[in-house]
Amino acid sequence: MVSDDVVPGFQDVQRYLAARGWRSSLSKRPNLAIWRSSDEAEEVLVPLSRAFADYASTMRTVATRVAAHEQRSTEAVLRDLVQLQTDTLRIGLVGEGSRGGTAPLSAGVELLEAVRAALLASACFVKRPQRSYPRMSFGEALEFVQACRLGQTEVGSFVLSVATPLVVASADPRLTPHFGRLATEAFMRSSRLLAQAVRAGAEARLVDPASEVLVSANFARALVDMAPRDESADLRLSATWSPLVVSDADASSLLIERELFEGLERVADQLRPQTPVHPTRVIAVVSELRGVANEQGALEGEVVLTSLLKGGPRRLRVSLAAADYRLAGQAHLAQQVVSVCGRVVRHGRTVELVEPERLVIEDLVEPDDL
Amino acid sequence: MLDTNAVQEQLSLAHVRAVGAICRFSIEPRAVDLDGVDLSIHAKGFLVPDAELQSPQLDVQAKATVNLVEEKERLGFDLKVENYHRLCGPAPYAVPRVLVVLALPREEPRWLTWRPDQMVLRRTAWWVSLEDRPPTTNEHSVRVWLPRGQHFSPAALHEIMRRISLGESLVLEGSARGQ
Repeated sequence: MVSDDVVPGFQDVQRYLAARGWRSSLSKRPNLAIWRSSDEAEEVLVPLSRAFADYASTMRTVATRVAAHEQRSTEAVLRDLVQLQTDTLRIGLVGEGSRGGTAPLSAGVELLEAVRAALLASACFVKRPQRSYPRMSFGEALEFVQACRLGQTEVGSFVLSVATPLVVASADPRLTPHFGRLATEAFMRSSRLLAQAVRAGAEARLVDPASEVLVSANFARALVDMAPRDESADLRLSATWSPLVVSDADASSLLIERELFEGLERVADQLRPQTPVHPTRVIAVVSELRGVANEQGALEGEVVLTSLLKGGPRRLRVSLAAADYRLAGQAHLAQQVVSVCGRVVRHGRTVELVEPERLVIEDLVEPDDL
Repeated sequence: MLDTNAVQEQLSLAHVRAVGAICRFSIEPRAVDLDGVDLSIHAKGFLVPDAELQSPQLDVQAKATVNLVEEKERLGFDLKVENYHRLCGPAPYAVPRVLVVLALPREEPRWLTWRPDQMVLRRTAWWVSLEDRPPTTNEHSVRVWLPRGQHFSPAALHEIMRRISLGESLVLEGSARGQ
Protein backbone atom coordinates (compact mmCIF):
# COMPACT_ATOMS: atom_id res chain seq x y z
CA MET A 1 0.00 0.00 0.00
CA VAL A 2 1.12 3.52 -0.74
CA SER A 3 0.14 6.00 1.92
CA ASP A 4 -2.17 8.87 1.02
CA ASP A 5 0.60 11.13 2.31
CA VAL A 6 2.94 10.00 -0.43
CA VAL A 7 2.77 12.48 -3.25
CA PRO A 8 5.01 12.08 -6.29
CA GLY A 9 7.19 14.96 -7.42
CA PHE A 10 6.19 16.61 -10.69
CA GLN A 11 9.63 16.09 -12.19
CA ASP A 12 9.46 12.37 -11.55
CA VAL A 13 5.94 12.23 -12.97
CA GLN A 14 7.17 13.92 -16.14
CA ARG A 15 10.16 11.57 -16.41
CA TYR A 16 7.82 8.62 -15.99
CA LEU A 17 5.43 9.82 -18.68
CA ALA A 18 8.25 10.67 -21.08
CA ALA A 19 9.78 7.22 -20.56
CA ARG A 20 6.41 5.68 -21.45
CA GLY A 21 6.13 7.63 -24.67
CA TRP A 22 3.69 10.33 -23.52
CA ARG A 23 4.09 13.75 -25.12
CA SER A 24 3.76 17.09 -23.39
CA SER A 25 2.65 20.59 -24.15
CA LEU A 26 2.37 23.62 -21.93
CA SER A 27 -0.99 24.93 -20.86
CA LYS A 28 -1.89 28.59 -21.29
CA ARG A 29 -2.34 28.54 -17.54
CA PRO A 30 0.93 29.03 -15.69
CA ASN A 31 2.89 26.07 -14.31
CA LEU A 32 0.73 23.39 -15.86
CA ALA A 33 1.74 20.80 -18.42
CA ILE A 34 -0.62 18.70 -20.49
CA TRP A 35 0.61 15.19 -21.20
CA ARG A 36 -1.02 12.91 -23.75
CA SER A 37 -0.39 9.20 -24.27
CA SER A 38 1.19 8.19 -27.56
CA ASP A 39 -2.14 6.77 -28.76
CA GLU A 40 -3.85 10.05 -27.76
CA ALA A 41 -6.36 8.03 -25.75
CA GLU A 42 -5.50 9.53 -22.38
CA GLU A 43 -4.55 12.95 -21.12
CA VAL A 44 -3.37 14.20 -17.76
CA LEU A 45 -2.77 17.66 -16.36
CA VAL A 46 0.49 17.85 -14.41
CA PRO A 47 1.10 20.74 -12.00
CA LEU A 48 4.68 21.98 -12.35
CA SER A 49 4.78 23.45 -8.87
CA ARG A 50 3.90 22.22 -5.42
CA ALA A 51 2.34 25.63 -4.77
CA PHE A 52 -0.97 24.46 -6.21
CA ALA A 53 -3.48 24.04 -3.42
CA ASP A 54 -4.75 20.83 -5.01
CA TYR A 55 -1.31 19.45 -5.93
CA ALA A 56 -1.80 16.16 -4.07
CA SER A 57 -5.29 15.40 -5.37
CA THR A 58 -4.26 16.34 -8.91
CA MET A 59 -1.30 13.98 -8.75
CA ARG A 60 -3.59 11.24 -7.50
CA THR A 61 -5.83 11.87 -10.50
CA VAL A 62 -2.76 11.63 -12.73
CA ALA A 63 -1.87 8.28 -11.17
CA THR A 64 -5.45 7.04 -11.55
CA ARG A 65 -5.62 7.96 -15.22
CA VAL A 66 -2.17 6.54 -16.00
CA ALA A 67 -3.12 3.36 -14.14
CA ALA A 68 -6.30 3.03 -16.20
CA HIS A 69 -4.31 3.54 -19.38
CA GLU A 70 -1.72 0.95 -18.36
CA GLN A 71 -4.37 -1.39 -16.94
CA ARG A 72 -2.61 -1.45 -13.59
CA SER A 73 -3.66 -0.46 -10.10
CA THR A 74 -3.37 3.16 -9.00
CA GLU A 75 -1.30 1.95 -6.03
CA ALA A 76 1.24 0.28 -8.33
CA VAL A 77 1.59 3.40 -10.47
CA LEU A 78 1.91 5.63 -7.40
CA ARG A 79 4.62 3.36 -6.01
CA ASP A 80 6.54 3.61 -9.29
CA LEU A 81 6.12 7.38 -9.34
CA VAL A 82 7.47 7.94 -5.83
CA GLN A 83 10.36 5.50 -6.31
CA LEU A 84 11.19 6.44 -9.85
CA GLN A 85 14.95 6.59 -9.40
CA THR A 86 15.11 3.15 -7.84
CA ASP A 87 14.41 -0.46 -8.58
CA THR A 88 12.77 -2.51 -5.86
CA LEU A 89 14.00 -5.88 -4.69
CA ARG A 90 11.67 -8.02 -2.60
CA ILE A 91 12.98 -10.89 -0.55
CA GLY A 92 10.15 -12.94 0.87
CA LEU A 93 9.98 -15.86 3.26
CA VAL A 94 7.11 -18.01 2.07
CA GLY A 95 5.93 -20.53 4.64
CA GLU A 96 3.65 -21.25 7.55
CA GLY A 97 5.92 -19.48 10.03
CA SER A 98 5.79 -16.17 8.18
CA ARG A 99 2.18 -16.29 6.99
CA GLY A 100 1.19 -13.51 9.34
CA GLY A 101 3.79 -11.21 7.80
CA THR A 102 6.23 -11.52 10.66
CA ALA A 103 9.49 -13.34 11.30
CA PRO A 104 11.62 -13.81 14.42
CA LEU A 105 13.66 -10.69 15.06
CA SER A 106 17.01 -12.49 14.96
CA ALA A 107 16.05 -14.25 11.71
CA GLY A 108 15.11 -10.90 10.24
CA VAL A 109 18.44 -9.40 11.24
CA GLU A 110 20.31 -12.32 9.69
CA LEU A 111 18.26 -12.03 6.51
CA LEU A 112 19.01 -8.33 6.28
CA GLU A 113 22.71 -8.94 6.69
CA ALA A 114 22.65 -11.65 4.03
CA VAL A 115 20.77 -9.39 1.61
CA ARG A 116 23.26 -6.62 2.23
CA ALA A 117 26.16 -8.99 1.50
CA ALA A 118 24.44 -10.23 -1.66
CA LEU A 119 23.89 -6.67 -2.88
CA LEU A 120 27.53 -5.83 -2.21
CA ALA A 121 28.70 -8.96 -4.02
CA SER A 122 26.42 -8.12 -6.96
CA ALA A 123 27.81 -4.60 -7.18
CA CYS A 124 31.38 -5.92 -7.03
CA PHE A 125 30.46 -8.26 -9.88
CA VAL A 126 29.37 -5.29 -11.99
CA LYS A 127 32.62 -3.50 -11.24
CA ARG A 128 34.77 -6.54 -11.99
CA PRO A 129 33.27 -9.97 -12.63
CA GLN A 130 35.33 -12.58 -10.85
CA ARG A 131 34.95 -15.78 -8.90
CA SER A 132 35.63 -14.38 -5.48
CA TYR A 133 36.30 -11.09 -3.75
CA PRO A 134 38.57 -11.24 -0.72
CA ARG A 135 37.43 -7.86 0.58
CA MET A 136 34.51 -6.54 -1.55
CA SER A 137 35.80 -3.00 -1.16
CA PHE A 138 35.21 -1.35 -4.53
CA GLY A 139 34.14 2.23 -3.93
CA GLU A 140 31.20 2.10 -6.35
CA ALA A 141 29.94 -1.11 -4.79
CA LEU A 142 30.11 0.28 -1.28
CA GLU A 143 28.37 3.46 -2.41
CA PHE A 144 25.64 1.42 -4.07
CA VAL A 145 24.92 -0.51 -0.89
CA GLN A 146 25.07 2.70 1.12
CA ALA A 147 22.40 4.22 -1.10
CA CYS A 148 20.04 1.25 -0.86
CA ARG A 149 16.96 1.94 1.26
CA LEU A 150 14.94 -0.44 3.31
CA GLY A 151 11.31 -0.14 2.28
CA GLN A 152 8.10 -0.83 4.11
CA THR A 153 7.36 -4.47 4.75
CA GLU A 154 4.53 -5.75 2.63
CA VAL A 155 1.32 -7.60 3.27
CA GLY A 156 1.34 -11.38 2.97
CA SER A 157 4.28 -13.51 3.95
CA PHE A 158 7.29 -11.77 5.46
CA VAL A 159 8.74 -9.62 2.68
CA LEU A 160 11.79 -7.40 2.90
CA SER A 161 11.66 -4.62 0.40
CA VAL A 162 14.85 -2.85 -0.66
CA ALA A 163 14.92 0.16 -2.96
CA THR A 164 18.12 0.02 -4.97
CA PRO A 165 19.32 3.17 -6.75
CA LEU A 166 19.61 3.22 -10.52
CA VAL A 167 22.64 5.45 -10.51
CA VAL A 168 25.78 5.53 -8.36
CA ALA A 169 27.56 8.85 -8.42
CA SER A 170 31.11 7.51 -8.35
CA ALA A 171 30.57 5.05 -11.21
CA ASP A 172 31.89 6.15 -14.58
CA PRO A 173 28.76 7.31 -16.44
CA ARG A 174 30.33 6.50 -19.81
CA LEU A 175 30.93 2.87 -18.87
CA THR A 176 28.06 2.17 -16.52
CA PRO A 177 25.47 4.96 -16.58
CA HIS A 178 23.12 2.79 -14.53
CA PHE A 179 25.53 0.99 -12.26
CA GLY A 180 22.84 0.36 -9.65
CA ARG A 181 20.47 -1.20 -12.19
CA LEU A 182 23.26 -3.53 -13.34
CA ALA A 183 23.94 -4.53 -9.74
CA THR A 184 20.28 -5.30 -9.09
CA GLU A 185 20.08 -7.29 -12.32
CA ALA A 186 23.24 -9.16 -11.27
CA PHE A 187 21.51 -10.00 -7.98
CA MET A 188 18.57 -11.57 -9.77
CA ARG A 189 20.68 -13.21 -12.49
CA SER A 190 23.12 -14.83 -10.06
CA SER A 191 20.23 -16.09 -7.93
CA ARG A 192 18.57 -17.60 -10.97
CA LEU A 193 21.80 -19.22 -12.22
CA LEU A 194 22.47 -20.78 -8.83
CA ALA A 195 18.92 -22.05 -8.38
CA GLN A 196 18.73 -23.40 -11.93
CA ALA A 197 22.07 -25.21 -11.61
CA VAL A 198 21.09 -26.89 -8.36
CA ARG A 199 17.60 -27.72 -9.58
CA ALA A 200 19.05 -29.33 -12.72
CA GLY A 201 21.81 -31.12 -10.83
CA ALA A 202 24.30 -29.15 -12.89
CA GLU A 203 26.29 -27.62 -10.07
CA ALA A 204 29.56 -28.53 -11.77
CA ARG A 205 28.77 -26.02 -14.47
CA LEU A 206 29.06 -23.23 -11.94
CA VAL A 207 32.01 -24.45 -9.91
CA ASP A 208 34.18 -25.47 -12.88
CA PRO A 209 36.93 -22.82 -13.06
CA ALA A 210 36.82 -23.01 -16.85
CA SER A 211 33.07 -22.42 -16.97
CA GLU A 212 31.81 -19.42 -18.87
CA VAL A 213 28.99 -19.08 -16.39
CA LEU A 214 30.32 -16.98 -13.58
CA VAL A 215 28.82 -16.49 -10.15
CA SER A 216 30.88 -15.15 -7.30
CA ALA A 217 31.53 -17.21 -4.22
CA ASN A 218 30.56 -14.21 -2.13
CA PHE A 219 27.12 -14.00 -3.72
CA ALA A 220 26.57 -17.74 -3.43
CA ARG A 221 27.42 -17.62 0.29
CA ALA A 222 25.12 -14.65 0.83
CA LEU A 223 22.27 -16.45 -0.94
CA VAL A 224 22.80 -19.50 1.28
CA ASP A 225 22.65 -17.21 4.29
CA MET A 226 19.20 -16.04 3.15
CA ALA A 227 17.86 -19.56 3.72
CA PRO A 228 14.73 -19.28 5.86
CA ARG A 229 15.20 -20.61 9.36
CA ASP A 230 11.70 -21.98 9.18
CA GLU A 231 12.26 -25.47 7.74
CA SER A 232 8.97 -25.32 5.86
CA ALA A 233 9.63 -21.99 4.16
CA ASP A 234 10.83 -21.15 0.68
CA LEU A 235 12.56 -17.97 -0.43
CA ARG A 236 10.97 -15.77 -3.06
CA LEU A 237 12.99 -13.08 -4.82
CA SER A 238 11.47 -10.52 -7.11
CA ALA A 239 12.42 -7.23 -8.67
CA THR A 240 10.35 -4.32 -9.92
CA TRP A 241 12.23 -2.18 -12.37
CA SER A 242 12.08 1.59 -12.55
CA PRO A 243 10.27 2.59 -15.74
CA LEU A 244 13.05 5.11 -16.45
CA VAL A 245 15.39 2.42 -17.76
CA VAL A 246 14.38 -0.62 -19.76
CA SER A 247 15.58 -3.75 -17.99
CA ASP A 248 17.46 -6.53 -19.77
CA ALA A 249 16.67 -8.94 -16.96
CA ASP A 250 15.17 -12.15 -18.31
CA ALA A 251 13.32 -12.89 -15.10
CA SER A 252 11.96 -10.64 -12.39
CA SER A 253 10.68 -13.28 -10.02
CA LEU A 254 12.23 -16.43 -8.65
CA LEU A 255 11.18 -19.03 -6.09
CA ILE A 256 14.00 -20.87 -4.35
CA GLU A 257 12.49 -23.92 -2.74
CA ARG A 258 13.70 -24.95 0.66
CA GLU A 259 15.22 -28.20 -0.61
CA LEU A 260 17.55 -26.33 -2.96
CA PHE A 261 19.55 -24.79 -0.14
CA GLU A 262 21.53 -27.93 0.59
CA GLY A 263 22.81 -27.90 -3.00
CA LEU A 264 23.37 -24.16 -2.87
CA GLU A 265 25.49 -24.69 0.22
CA ARG A 266 27.65 -27.19 -1.67
CA VAL A 267 28.08 -24.77 -4.56
CA ALA A 268 29.00 -21.96 -2.21
CA ASP A 269 31.60 -24.14 -0.49
CA GLN A 270 33.09 -25.24 -3.79
CA LEU A 271 33.20 -21.74 -5.19
CA ARG A 272 35.09 -20.50 -2.15
CA PRO A 273 38.82 -20.20 -2.77
CA GLN A 274 40.53 -23.25 -1.33
CA THR A 275 43.24 -21.38 0.48
CA PRO A 276 44.65 -22.88 3.66
CA VAL A 277 43.07 -21.49 6.79
CA HIS A 278 45.84 -20.17 9.02
CA PRO A 279 45.50 -19.98 12.76
CA THR A 280 44.36 -16.66 13.98
CA ARG A 281 43.96 -14.97 17.32
CA VAL A 282 40.42 -14.05 18.20
CA ILE A 283 39.48 -11.51 20.84
CA ALA A 284 36.00 -12.05 22.15
CA VAL A 285 33.56 -12.00 24.99
CA VAL A 286 32.08 -15.25 26.23
CA SER A 287 28.38 -15.15 25.36
CA GLU A 288 27.17 -18.64 26.22
CA LEU A 289 28.49 -21.68 28.09
CA ARG A 290 27.00 -24.89 26.76
CA GLY A 291 29.41 -27.44 28.23
CA VAL A 292 28.59 -30.64 30.08
CA ALA A 293 30.40 -32.42 32.90
CA ASN A 294 33.11 -34.93 31.87
CA GLU A 295 33.92 -38.17 33.64
CA GLN A 296 35.87 -36.26 36.29
CA GLY A 297 32.95 -33.95 36.91
CA ALA A 298 34.61 -30.93 35.30
CA LEU A 299 32.71 -28.93 32.75
CA GLU A 300 33.97 -28.87 29.15
CA GLY A 301 32.58 -28.49 25.67
CA GLU A 302 30.95 -25.84 23.55
CA VAL A 303 31.25 -22.14 24.26
CA VAL A 304 29.80 -19.36 22.13
CA LEU A 305 32.07 -16.35 21.71
CA THR A 306 31.17 -13.00 20.29
CA SER A 307 34.26 -11.79 18.54
CA LEU A 308 35.25 -8.17 18.46
CA LEU A 309 37.11 -8.37 15.19
CA LYS A 310 36.69 -5.92 12.35
CA GLY A 311 33.34 -6.11 10.62
CA GLY A 312 31.35 -5.93 13.84
CA PRO A 313 30.32 -8.54 16.38
CA ARG A 314 30.34 -12.13 15.11
CA ARG A 315 29.31 -15.22 16.97
CA LEU A 316 31.54 -18.26 16.73
CA ARG A 317 31.49 -21.61 18.46
CA VAL A 318 34.49 -23.22 20.04
CA SER A 319 34.83 -26.51 21.87
CA LEU A 320 37.03 -26.15 24.95
CA ALA A 321 38.74 -28.66 27.20
CA ALA A 322 38.09 -28.43 30.95
CA ALA A 323 40.94 -26.03 31.82
CA ASP A 324 40.09 -23.53 29.11
CA TYR A 325 36.38 -23.98 29.79
CA ARG A 326 36.98 -22.98 33.40
CA LEU A 327 38.77 -19.82 32.26
CA ALA A 328 35.96 -19.05 29.85
CA GLY A 329 33.50 -19.45 32.71
CA GLN A 330 35.48 -17.02 34.86
CA ALA A 331 35.61 -14.49 32.04
CA HIS A 332 31.88 -14.87 31.43
CA LEU A 333 31.03 -14.23 35.07
CA ALA A 334 33.42 -11.30 35.36
CA GLN A 335 32.46 -9.96 31.94
CA GLN A 336 36.07 -10.02 30.88
CA VAL A 337 37.48 -10.33 27.39
CA VAL A 338 39.36 -13.46 26.32
CA SER A 339 41.74 -14.18 23.48
CA VAL A 340 42.15 -17.56 21.91
CA CYS A 341 44.06 -18.88 18.91
CA GLY A 342 42.59 -21.25 16.34
CA ARG A 343 41.42 -21.63 12.77
CA VAL A 344 38.15 -19.96 11.79
CA VAL A 345 36.05 -22.38 9.75
CA ARG A 346 32.60 -21.76 8.42
CA HIS A 347 29.84 -24.38 8.14
CA GLY A 348 26.85 -22.80 6.53
CA ARG A 349 25.52 -20.20 8.94
CA THR A 350 27.79 -21.37 11.70
CA VAL A 351 31.30 -20.10 12.26
CA GLU A 352 33.56 -22.33 14.31
CA LEU A 353 36.98 -21.83 15.83
CA VAL A 354 38.74 -25.18 15.54
CA GLU A 355 41.90 -26.37 17.25
CA PRO A 356 41.68 -23.72 19.96
CA GLU A 357 44.74 -23.09 22.07
CA ARG A 358 46.27 -20.50 24.36
CA LEU A 359 42.99 -19.16 25.77
CA VAL A 360 43.74 -16.34 28.19
CA ILE A 361 41.71 -13.72 29.98
CA GLU A 362 42.88 -10.38 28.68
CA ASP A 363 43.74 -7.74 31.20
CA LEU A 364 42.31 -4.85 29.25
CA VAL A 365 42.67 -1.33 30.54
CA GLU A 366 39.30 0.30 31.05
CA PRO A 367 39.00 3.91 29.89
CA ASP A 368 38.30 4.95 33.48
CA ASP A 369 41.71 3.64 34.50
CA LEU A 370 43.58 5.86 32.10
CA MET B 1 -33.23 9.54 8.90
CA LEU B 2 -31.35 12.42 7.37
CA ASP B 3 -31.52 15.75 9.11
CA THR B 4 -32.57 18.86 7.22
CA ASN B 5 -29.03 19.93 6.38
CA ALA B 6 -28.20 16.51 4.97
CA VAL B 7 -31.35 16.56 2.82
CA GLN B 8 -30.37 19.97 1.45
CA GLU B 9 -26.85 18.73 0.74
CA GLN B 10 -28.15 15.69 -1.14
CA LEU B 11 -30.48 17.86 -3.20
CA SER B 12 -27.63 20.16 -4.17
CA LEU B 13 -25.55 17.14 -5.26
CA ALA B 14 -28.52 15.79 -7.18
CA HIS B 15 -28.87 19.10 -8.98
CA VAL B 16 -25.20 19.12 -10.03
CA ARG B 17 -25.40 15.47 -11.08
CA ALA B 18 -28.52 16.09 -13.14
CA VAL B 19 -27.00 19.05 -14.96
CA GLY B 20 -23.75 17.15 -15.56
CA ALA B 21 -25.56 14.08 -16.83
CA ILE B 22 -27.70 16.00 -19.29
CA CYS B 23 -24.44 17.48 -20.65
CA ARG B 24 -23.13 13.89 -20.98
CA PHE B 25 -20.23 14.60 -18.68
CA SER B 26 -19.11 12.00 -16.17
CA ILE B 27 -19.44 12.75 -12.47
CA GLU B 28 -17.15 11.33 -9.81
CA PRO B 29 -17.94 11.74 -6.12
CA ARG B 30 -15.05 12.74 -3.87
CA ALA B 31 -14.49 12.36 -0.15
CA VAL B 32 -15.64 15.70 1.26
CA ASP B 33 -13.04 15.80 3.99
CA LEU B 34 -10.24 15.16 1.48
CA ASP B 35 -9.99 18.71 0.19
CA GLY B 36 -13.42 20.26 0.19
CA VAL B 37 -14.54 18.93 -3.19
CA ASP B 38 -17.85 17.07 -3.37
CA LEU B 39 -17.87 16.11 -7.04
CA SER B 40 -15.57 16.18 -10.03
CA ILE B 41 -17.05 16.66 -13.48
CA HIS B 42 -15.12 15.23 -16.42
CA ALA B 43 -15.59 15.70 -20.13
CA LYS B 44 -13.94 13.38 -22.60
CA GLY B 45 -13.09 14.47 -26.11
CA PHE B 46 -12.40 17.92 -27.48
CA LEU B 47 -15.29 20.27 -26.79
CA VAL B 48 -13.97 22.87 -29.23
CA PRO B 49 -11.49 22.46 -32.09
CA ASP B 50 -8.76 24.68 -30.65
CA ALA B 51 -8.93 23.32 -27.10
CA GLU B 52 -5.69 22.60 -25.28
CA LEU B 53 -7.36 19.99 -23.07
CA GLN B 54 -9.32 17.07 -24.38
CA SER B 55 -10.31 15.92 -20.89
CA PRO B 56 -11.25 19.05 -18.94
CA GLN B 57 -12.17 18.58 -15.31
CA LEU B 58 -14.11 20.78 -12.91
CA ASP B 59 -14.18 20.31 -9.15
CA VAL B 60 -17.38 21.34 -7.41
CA GLN B 61 -18.29 22.16 -3.85
CA ALA B 62 -22.09 21.98 -3.67
CA LYS B 63 -24.30 23.69 -1.09
CA ALA B 64 -28.00 24.34 -0.65
CA THR B 65 -29.82 26.99 1.33
CA VAL B 66 -33.23 28.54 1.97
CA ASN B 67 -31.57 31.77 3.07
CA LEU B 68 -29.99 33.35 0.01
CA VAL B 69 -29.55 37.08 0.46
CA GLU B 70 -31.07 38.50 -2.68
CA GLU B 71 -29.84 41.75 -4.21
CA LYS B 72 -30.52 43.06 -7.67
CA GLU B 73 -27.32 41.83 -9.34
CA ARG B 74 -26.15 39.25 -6.91
CA LEU B 75 -27.05 36.66 -4.32
CA GLY B 76 -25.33 36.35 -0.96
CA PHE B 77 -24.54 33.04 0.73
CA ASP B 78 -22.87 32.57 4.10
CA LEU B 79 -20.18 29.92 3.62
CA LYS B 80 -18.29 28.32 6.49
CA VAL B 81 -14.73 29.63 6.71
CA GLU B 82 -13.33 26.12 6.46
CA ASN B 83 -15.13 25.56 3.15
CA TYR B 84 -14.26 29.03 1.90
CA HIS B 85 -10.56 28.40 2.40
CA ARG B 86 -10.83 25.35 0.18
CA LEU B 87 -12.11 27.48 -2.67
CA CYS B 88 -10.25 30.77 -2.41
CA GLY B 89 -6.72 31.88 -3.34
CA PRO B 90 -4.01 32.87 -3.19
CA ALA B 91 -2.66 29.40 -4.02
CA PRO B 92 -3.92 28.45 -7.47
CA TYR B 93 -5.79 25.23 -8.26
CA ALA B 94 -4.58 22.97 -11.04
CA VAL B 95 -8.14 21.76 -11.51
CA PRO B 96 -10.50 24.72 -11.48
CA ARG B 97 -13.08 24.56 -8.73
CA VAL B 98 -16.35 26.36 -8.18
CA LEU B 99 -18.97 26.74 -5.53
CA VAL B 100 -22.48 25.77 -6.60
CA VAL B 101 -25.31 26.95 -4.36
CA LEU B 102 -28.82 25.58 -4.78
CA ALA B 103 -31.49 27.98 -3.60
CA LEU B 104 -34.41 26.08 -2.09
CA PRO B 105 -37.89 27.42 -1.32
CA ARG B 106 -38.43 28.26 2.33
CA GLU B 107 -41.22 25.68 2.58
CA GLU B 108 -39.69 22.24 2.76
CA PRO B 109 -42.63 20.44 1.04
CA ARG B 110 -41.88 22.48 -2.08
CA TRP B 111 -38.26 21.44 -2.34
CA LEU B 112 -39.14 18.45 -4.44
CA THR B 113 -42.56 17.55 -5.73
CA TRP B 114 -43.58 14.53 -7.66
CA ARG B 115 -46.46 13.69 -9.97
CA PRO B 116 -46.91 10.74 -12.26
CA ASP B 117 -45.74 12.80 -15.21
CA GLN B 118 -43.03 14.94 -13.62
CA MET B 119 -40.66 15.45 -10.73
CA VAL B 120 -39.67 19.01 -9.91
CA LEU B 121 -36.64 20.10 -7.90
CA ARG B 122 -37.03 23.77 -6.89
CA ARG B 123 -35.62 26.48 -7.32
CA THR B 124 -32.29 26.70 -9.09
CA ALA B 125 -28.56 26.90 -8.51
CA TRP B 126 -25.87 29.50 -9.13
CA TRP B 127 -22.12 29.08 -9.39
CA VAL B 128 -19.07 31.18 -8.67
CA SER B 129 -15.30 30.78 -8.76
CA LEU B 130 -13.57 32.17 -5.69
CA GLU B 131 -10.01 31.53 -6.88
CA ASP B 132 -9.23 35.25 -6.94
CA ARG B 133 -10.60 35.85 -3.46
CA PRO B 134 -8.17 36.30 -0.56
CA PRO B 135 -8.23 34.22 2.63
CA THR B 136 -10.42 35.59 5.39
CA THR B 137 -9.79 36.30 9.03
CA ASN B 138 -13.47 35.71 9.86
CA GLU B 139 -14.05 33.09 12.52
CA HIS B 140 -17.16 31.27 11.39
CA SER B 141 -18.43 32.23 7.97
CA VAL B 142 -17.83 34.43 4.95
CA ARG B 143 -20.57 35.97 2.83
CA VAL B 144 -19.84 35.08 -0.78
CA TRP B 145 -21.71 36.67 -3.64
CA LEU B 146 -22.96 34.76 -6.65
CA PRO B 147 -23.65 36.83 -9.77
CA ARG B 148 -27.33 36.55 -10.56
CA GLY B 149 -26.52 35.76 -14.16
CA GLN B 150 -24.41 32.71 -13.31
CA HIS B 151 -27.05 30.00 -13.21
CA PHE B 152 -25.68 26.50 -12.95
CA SER B 153 -27.55 25.33 -16.03
CA PRO B 154 -26.57 22.81 -18.71
CA ALA B 155 -25.59 25.66 -21.03
CA ALA B 156 -23.54 27.28 -18.28
CA LEU B 157 -21.77 24.03 -17.46
CA HIS B 158 -20.95 23.52 -21.14
CA GLU B 159 -19.47 27.02 -21.21
CA ILE B 160 -17.47 26.38 -18.03
CA MET B 161 -16.00 23.18 -19.46
CA ARG B 162 -15.28 24.93 -22.75
CA ARG B 163 -13.35 27.65 -20.94
CA ILE B 164 -11.40 25.07 -18.96
CA SER B 165 -10.52 23.16 -22.11
CA LEU B 166 -9.20 26.40 -23.61
CA GLY B 167 -7.10 27.16 -20.51
CA GLU B 168 -9.23 30.18 -19.67
CA SER B 169 -10.07 31.50 -16.23
CA LEU B 170 -13.48 30.97 -14.65
CA VAL B 171 -13.21 34.25 -12.78
CA LEU B 172 -15.41 36.51 -14.89
CA GLU B 173 -14.49 40.15 -15.23
CA GLY B 174 -16.95 42.73 -14.09
CA SER B 175 -19.32 40.32 -12.45
CA ALA B 176 -21.23 41.40 -9.41
CA ARG B 177 -18.96 39.78 -6.88
CA GLY B 178 -17.10 40.89 -3.86
CA GLN B 179 -16.86 39.82 -0.32
